[in-house]
Amino acid sequence: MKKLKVLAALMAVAMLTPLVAGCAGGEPMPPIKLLAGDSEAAKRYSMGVQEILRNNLGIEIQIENVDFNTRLQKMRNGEFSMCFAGWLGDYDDPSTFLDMWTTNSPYNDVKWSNAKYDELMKKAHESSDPLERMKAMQEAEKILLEELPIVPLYWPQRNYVEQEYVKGILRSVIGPEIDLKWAYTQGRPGGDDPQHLNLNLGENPPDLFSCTTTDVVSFDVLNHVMEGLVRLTPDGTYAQGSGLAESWTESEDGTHFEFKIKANAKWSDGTPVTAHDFEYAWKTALDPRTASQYNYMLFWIKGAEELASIEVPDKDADPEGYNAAVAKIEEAKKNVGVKAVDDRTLVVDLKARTPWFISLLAFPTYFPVKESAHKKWGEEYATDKNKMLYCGPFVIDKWVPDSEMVLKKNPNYWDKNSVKLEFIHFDMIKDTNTPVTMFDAKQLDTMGVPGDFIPKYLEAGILKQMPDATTWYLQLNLKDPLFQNAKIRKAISLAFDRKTFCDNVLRNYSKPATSLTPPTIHGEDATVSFAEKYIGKVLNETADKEQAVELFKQGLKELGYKYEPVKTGK
Amino acid sequence: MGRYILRRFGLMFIALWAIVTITFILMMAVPGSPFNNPKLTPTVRKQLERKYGLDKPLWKQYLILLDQLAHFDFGISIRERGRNVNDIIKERFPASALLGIEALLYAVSLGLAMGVVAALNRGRWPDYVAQVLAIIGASVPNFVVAAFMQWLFAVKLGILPIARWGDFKHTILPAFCLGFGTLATMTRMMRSSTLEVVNQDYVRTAKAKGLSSAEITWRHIIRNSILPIVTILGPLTAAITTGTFVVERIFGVPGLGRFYVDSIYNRDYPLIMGTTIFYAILLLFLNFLVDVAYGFIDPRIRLTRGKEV
Repeated sequence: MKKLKVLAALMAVAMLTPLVAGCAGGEPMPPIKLLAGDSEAAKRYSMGVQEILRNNLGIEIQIENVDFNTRLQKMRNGEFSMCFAGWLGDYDDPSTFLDMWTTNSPYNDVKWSNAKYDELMKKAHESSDPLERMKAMQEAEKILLEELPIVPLYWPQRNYVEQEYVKGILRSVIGPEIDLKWAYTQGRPGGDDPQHLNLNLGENPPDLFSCTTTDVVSFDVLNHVMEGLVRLTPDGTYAQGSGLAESWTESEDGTHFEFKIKANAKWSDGTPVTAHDFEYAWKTALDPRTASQYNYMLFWIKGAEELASIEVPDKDADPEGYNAAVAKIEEAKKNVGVKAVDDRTLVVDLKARTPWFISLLAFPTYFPVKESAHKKWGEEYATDKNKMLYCGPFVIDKWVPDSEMVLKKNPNYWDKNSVKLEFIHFDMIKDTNTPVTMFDAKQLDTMGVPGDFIPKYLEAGILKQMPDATTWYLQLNLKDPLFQNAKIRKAISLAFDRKTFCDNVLRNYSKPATSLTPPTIHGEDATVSFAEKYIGKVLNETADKEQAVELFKQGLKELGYKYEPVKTGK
Repeated sequence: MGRYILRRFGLMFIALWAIVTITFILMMAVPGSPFNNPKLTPTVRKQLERKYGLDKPLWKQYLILLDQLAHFDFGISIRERGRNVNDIIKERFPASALLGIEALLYAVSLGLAMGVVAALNRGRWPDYVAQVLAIIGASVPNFVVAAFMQWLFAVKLGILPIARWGDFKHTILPAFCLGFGTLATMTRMMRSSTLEVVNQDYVRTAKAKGLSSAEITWRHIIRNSILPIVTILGPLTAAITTGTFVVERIFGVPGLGRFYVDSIYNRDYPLIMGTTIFYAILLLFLNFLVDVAYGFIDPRIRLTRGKEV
């Protein structure tokens, strides 16, 4: 009660302040705090933001560097005013970036709400007309770039090197970061036989169970030892027959699929991979008791979200409620739009037309799991090389946690003739310097290049780059009165010199983000970049200092604050 | 003696309980959660918290923890799904222990020898060599030593592996880096405590009695100057054999070291508790051994309340 009174008094003061202050030239602006990570890079980046805003807007922001977990918790709880954040697209459609900012999205940390935007995104999901969809998303992104609840900053690049004798590694922007199914070596000093590659995983894979896994290290392993209904091929498509599905048919309205599983698709124990293994895996991932963090990747399927959102009470505290929930889960499983009609036919029904659905089938959550094997090992499934089954081009031959993993060619794989490597050796070295030394000594055949070493490999002329499907941005919390003002938000974006930030602060070949959805995302037509065709360069690459300061002053005046530029010493 | 041991064990249990409680309070006070996927939805977060019992009131979680610990069960890791913390420790401790023992053996034996030689040759060249080495060892961080060693022995000379784990040759560089700082500490401590002892009356007496210098050094100097070293040997052994973050990370050693840092970073509560208690038990036990060892080295320290004469 006392708290409420204090709050009311504070609110009254807050409401009166602009009036009083307006006469007296205004109160000083409240401090802005930037929430950022605590790695060396994150510290440098946040200082870059600080300096750019100091130089171009005359404001001094404070920096709060916290570890990843703390930052995430503060973001989700809305305990920040300005925050550094990044998002990696899940699939090749702009909605993977735009859905985040709808009113009810769990990722909308800034609590931005725009009815028109919500309506457009709803249309983008419900419409079956490709052009109408793209237009709706175009309009939505334009609204967001006008309102700027988040300020897009940059699009990172992936920097990597590989030895000159390494051939055929498939890298993709969305989908497996690296696929060695077709890789081989030619002219390795000391001979190519037996064909093999040495890579550094960087860490022990924390979770190799496809239903629950969430991290890239586990994904990198799973993509080699497992396979979904489709697999990304070297020509960049998910063609019929590229994965464990021999073929499929799609209904006119794009919501009904019938997959035919390959007759020679086999598990590593020699038994056939059946349609039931897919149905079991998908329903296991959706079961709320599994608590799969990527289960939302299956939500395009009819009845999937309903199953995943069933609340399950604590078994010990409320056994009755628990049993009732289990019954409800079993019932809901019957209504999920995935069904094995026979051993080789899988029927899938979607909520609405989902053009990127086929590409999702290559995502680990969609991999098959053999029920008998999963039940046999239970919670320990995939915690040891002998406690899981494989259906991909390789199998795990050796796994010494935190030391090494060896994959060897899977003799039961349907397309084993395409696989040239006899084995892959993975190290699990977390340090960033050691792998560089090992690469230079040819003990590693390819690796991602840590930021500090980019100049070294650039000079050597062997640095390779590819774009990523990630956007980094500043989140401006709309609960903060300062950022409720659209002019202030716009001023921050205008003052932000994206080019200088990329060239002088990041120094890793990131590109200035002139809109939200990165240019690597397409949509209905896989050859047309959404950002390039539908959006264009909306945001400034360099700072528009004058206009930014003008807008910022106006915004502050509206809020009753005084503009007091800090001295930059220039 | 028996009563002393019993009392010490009782105290050790109380200390352990205090450590568990303080660790529990601290780790729950740190913001953040083990579920750190930015794409996690609130629904799944709730499901995960239920699955791992983190939605229960704290006092209940504490009681469950005590119950588990009473059975020597540290629970299941959250980050490394499905893996038992006991198994993780069992699996990773040997690598850390092996490195630690190698490092201790060379650092302590060499350090003691250098310390004694330096003290007996005070102000002459062996003393300067030992002192310079001690200063380098104390001031150069081990990741710099590691990078230098990798470059020299692996890249330039090509006689040792850069990193990875397997047989004895993989342990040489990490063990050297691990023990380097200890070597310096040992040399310094042994030198100063020897210097104190050489000026004592009983050493002079021994000399006057005409004992050989080897006998004086061995029986009178080393035996008396080694006591402070024994004191730090307990905590040192516990620290060095349970793994270190930096050295293991640089050389890709599958040891326990990384978990002391990573488990906290990942908020992997069972693993934080498991590694902390493991370390605590080892430390308490080794300190106990040191106390017992005193009695053998120095008869003035008695463990049983001796009868007054």
